[in-house]
Amino acid sequence: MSIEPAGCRDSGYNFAYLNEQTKKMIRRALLKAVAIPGYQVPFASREMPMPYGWGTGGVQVTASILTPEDVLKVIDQGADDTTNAVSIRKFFRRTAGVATTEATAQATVIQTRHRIPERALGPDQILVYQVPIPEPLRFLEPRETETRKMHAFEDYGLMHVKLYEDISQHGHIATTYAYPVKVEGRYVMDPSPTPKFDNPKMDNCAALQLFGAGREKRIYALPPFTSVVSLDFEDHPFQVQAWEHPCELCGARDSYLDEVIIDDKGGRMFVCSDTDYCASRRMAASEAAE
Amino acid sequence: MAAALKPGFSDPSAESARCFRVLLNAMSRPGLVQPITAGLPSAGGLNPASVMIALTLCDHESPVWLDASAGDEAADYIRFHCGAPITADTSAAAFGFFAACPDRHVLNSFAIGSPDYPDASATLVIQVEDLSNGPDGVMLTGPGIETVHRLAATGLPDGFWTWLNTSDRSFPLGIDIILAGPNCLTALPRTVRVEEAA
Repeated sequence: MSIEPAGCRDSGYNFAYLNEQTKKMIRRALLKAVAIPGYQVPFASREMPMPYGWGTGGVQVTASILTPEDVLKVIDQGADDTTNAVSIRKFFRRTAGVATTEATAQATVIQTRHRIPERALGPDQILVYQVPIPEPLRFLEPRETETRKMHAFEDYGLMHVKLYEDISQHGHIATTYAYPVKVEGRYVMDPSPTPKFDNPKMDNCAALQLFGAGREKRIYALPPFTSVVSLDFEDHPFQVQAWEHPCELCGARDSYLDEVIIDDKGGRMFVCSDTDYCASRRMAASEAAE
Repeated sequence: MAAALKPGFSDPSAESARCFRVLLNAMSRPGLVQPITAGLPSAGGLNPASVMIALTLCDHESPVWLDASAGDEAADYIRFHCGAPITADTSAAAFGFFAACPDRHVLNSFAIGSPDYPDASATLVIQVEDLSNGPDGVMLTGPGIETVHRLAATGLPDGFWTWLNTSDRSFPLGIDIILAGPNCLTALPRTVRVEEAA
């Protein structure tokens, strides 16, 4: 795995596609988002050359922070080789001419859809999340005017009621993704639809984490070394998913596993969702065997 | 005849992107001093770091307030290169630039946002003589800081750190500050907590 070097930029586009005024507007929103961790900053989201739901928010954030020297990695559910990841990577190769990579350790900017890489991120890396619904209270209270007041008054009782109802119906907190977190003891935040397995990685992370929601026109952020606590109860503490078997390709027991159907007779296998993590473990194992 | 306008970025997309990354790093790691290498001129009373911030962030949507020491040349420079309106009303400004040591009452007159929209608050750029992360600086803690950052700044008004600590209590309301040295800068977002060395 290596870096695909910076290529020729399509000069028909401004650097990183967006015009300079749009980038200034997003950059101002990003700085406010970093200064108020977990608060959703409204921004004038632009139409992008891809449909809503394909990461227009994440793409606008990435376009606004990219420099010509960056090395970009894009993942979709942990994988570098899925449609969404491949097309966004190609988009930035063409419009920004930046180098790209599949190796987590080599990337300076990582745009992600719904996973956090297994490998711990460093202080020189920025993780950009694509977010569909940024408002954690939206399915409990549809009115924006109300949810805004709930955040202003720190009125988050409804979220605990929702988690309690999980327990009363299922015997445990059944929320498995987009599991709500509290940032620095103040704002309740939607970590985007990452599996709750990834929530502990957000806490006290060395890398800057930025969240962009294009259709909903919101940007929010977690500065490095910020406290991110998953909501829970004393008698029902937060727990991440666990699997009975290791990854069938690399044998990892510490990574998030995808269930893959392998035939039409009900055969299935569990493999790492993070393709780079899985591949580098297999490469290390084969080198050790030689 | 007025003095000729100083130049802005020679390659705006690439240079503003690099400058923004400096600002993003600064804001996400409060108190860490970031070097500047953009090679920009000063404009009136504004030093190259302040000029870099204006060119990177200001436009027609962000009213700019300038202190008296910044001067007309700075106002003309920002009007021309950024297209930003210059305002005398501190409470309407998105950005405030202090070329000289600020007065606490002026600092308190900028917008701090509302409980519904804490982001509708000013970003203030305060020019200082020097910045360093020496062991004799004030102790900064908060989001973005792993344990503690120590920051020494010369040229700040007396009682600045005490003022910053008291304004910190209204979180999430507040203003965000960038200290602009001659060739470096550092940020003090509203989340930062200060402990002065004994």
